[in-house]
Amino acid sequence: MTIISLTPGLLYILSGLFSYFLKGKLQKLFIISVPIIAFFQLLSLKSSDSYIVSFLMSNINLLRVDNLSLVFGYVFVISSFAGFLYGIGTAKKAEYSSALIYIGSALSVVFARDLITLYIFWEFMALSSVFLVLLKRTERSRKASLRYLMVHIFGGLILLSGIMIHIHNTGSIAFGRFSIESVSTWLMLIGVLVNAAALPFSSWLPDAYSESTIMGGVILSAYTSKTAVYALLRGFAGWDILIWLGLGMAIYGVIYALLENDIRRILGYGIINQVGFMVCAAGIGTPLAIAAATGHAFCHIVYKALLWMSAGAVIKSTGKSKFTDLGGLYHKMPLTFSLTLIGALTIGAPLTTAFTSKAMILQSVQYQKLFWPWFLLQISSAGIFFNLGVKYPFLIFFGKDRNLSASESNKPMLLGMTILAFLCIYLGCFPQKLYTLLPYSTQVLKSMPSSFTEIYMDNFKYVLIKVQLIAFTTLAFFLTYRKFKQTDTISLDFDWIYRRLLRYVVIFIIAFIDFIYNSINSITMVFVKAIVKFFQNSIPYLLYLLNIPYLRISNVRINKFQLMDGYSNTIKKQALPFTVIGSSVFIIFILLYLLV
Amino acid sequence: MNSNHSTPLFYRSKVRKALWNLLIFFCTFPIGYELISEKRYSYFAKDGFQSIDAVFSFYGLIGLFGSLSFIVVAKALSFFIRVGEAYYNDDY
Repeated sequence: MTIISLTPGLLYILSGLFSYFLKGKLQKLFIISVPIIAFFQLLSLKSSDSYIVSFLMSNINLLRVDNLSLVFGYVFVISSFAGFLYGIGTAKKAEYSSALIYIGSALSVVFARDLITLYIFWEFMALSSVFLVLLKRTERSRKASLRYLMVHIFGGLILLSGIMIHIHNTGSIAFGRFSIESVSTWLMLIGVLVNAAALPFSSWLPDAYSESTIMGGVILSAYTSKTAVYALLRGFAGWDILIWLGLGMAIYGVIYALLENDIRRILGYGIINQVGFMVCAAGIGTPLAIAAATGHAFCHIVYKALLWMSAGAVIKSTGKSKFTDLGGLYHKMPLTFSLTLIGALTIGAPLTTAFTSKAMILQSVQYQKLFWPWFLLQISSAGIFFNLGVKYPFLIFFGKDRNLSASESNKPMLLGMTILAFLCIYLGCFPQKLYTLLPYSTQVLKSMPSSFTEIYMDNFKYVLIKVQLIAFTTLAFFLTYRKFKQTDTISLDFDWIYRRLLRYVVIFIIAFIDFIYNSINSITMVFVKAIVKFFQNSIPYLLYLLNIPYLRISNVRINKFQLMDGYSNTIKKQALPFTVIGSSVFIIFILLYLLV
Repeated sequence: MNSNHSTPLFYRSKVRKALWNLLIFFCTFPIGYELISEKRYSYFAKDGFQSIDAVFSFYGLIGLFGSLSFIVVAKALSFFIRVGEAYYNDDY
């Protein structure tokens, strides 16, 4: 490390702590300078660099520099720069601090050489990101942040248990590819999948992100799920289950996005869909698939952050976040609309970045002759373009003009969006720059067309194939959107399990315990009553039995119950002498027994 | 003042018609190009369902019918999973 002797992650974390004590313009200047310094720091990193720290009687290494970690590092830093610029006019001081710590933790995860470092910063990431939701300071955001924390603590604990068993079994803390399927690796995989928002742990993402602050949404969209993708690519590449999990995520994301009425929740489902593509590629695990997933993660962070920015700008300007409340904004927010359109088209249109990265994923699936994954990914591509490429911009900026009072986004917001929009187009036209950064870059450059001429002239037929797909998807939208209207409703998701079902289960368990307790109580009461009755009646009955011969001889008419009642009343009236005599006899017997 | 000028650009009927024509062009041009260019072959199989990617205008069909099938599935699912906005209001 030549610039400063800190890892990029630690630089962000320490800046986050320090920035809280700064004020006004100085604070903003400081915050904007952090990604710039970190970017140059990344440029100066070499594969031989390391950063060893002593922790719990072992040496942990906070720095592993290779193409995989560097690509994630670059895009994390770039998107944070755009995000911070975007938030200048809206974000609070505490938001910036937690965002810096969160991004620093994400950077530390992608540069972690061992499992201990990975876990520590994994948890830091969860804890610091909660504030980006909490700082919206509404009742809904407070509840959403608690659910978010609960899910991530659950995932973190599973990851920790996997790491501990792995270290116990192998004695190694190294974080590399896990080729053996064991309890420990499966636990680690589940822990990572929670953060990737894989099924059935997916619902936390739209739930929490849609309740975050305006800048918080932009920041959150880029890091948690992508660090999970990084961990999958590093540790679990080639695990077959990931192919099917990824496909499940891709399809689930489309279906739920179709039903969604909230502009940020639809983007949340869009993230799940696209992360599904990356998880599927991780499952394929070939060098091209790993490079494709890495490249797509890079592109996805760029265009999805742009769309989150547009959603934030619309919410800030109108105060509305539902499709049913929005419409006709394009002439009030023309620049925001233009930049949103670039982000929306990037999902699949030629000359944009995801056009090339998604093609790489599909190519890697094709090379493995996996027909069904390929077919389902193609359909999902159409589905997500339908949702985010057409429905999202159309229903906000066109559709029914609701005469909302709205104004154009402020300059910092537009600046942040412009940076990302530029990258969307630049990397779509000239992806060679990105390809050379990717892991297995030589293989990528051999397998994929990379220059503008190769992609758009030599492979014009392929370009037209994609145009066909998106044009007919657009047609499908305009043929159906009047019939498939947005409604002011929500869709039950997997979070129903812990928000409702778990509550019913707890109510049932409490009722069951109550029933058991009451039953035992009733049975005991019956038993005690019987014993008491027995002892109550035993002395009068004894007296009755003793008196029978006398009564028979005396020729007295015997009424058993009358007699027993009489004896009983006598005993009750003279309870004290009876008790005293009885107790004395009992004590005498005890003493006699002890003495003998 | 002409009322057409007070209507925002994209809400004018002429512009809407032009946009529809543009969409139809983007739908028909790639198909027309596919018609005159050499036949595509399947990556996966010579015949059967897995050779579907060789079908003429396959990607257009995927775009149209893929989206429509998602709509059908989502619509069917919505009967079971759609609830009012206030469904979770009393939650923690």
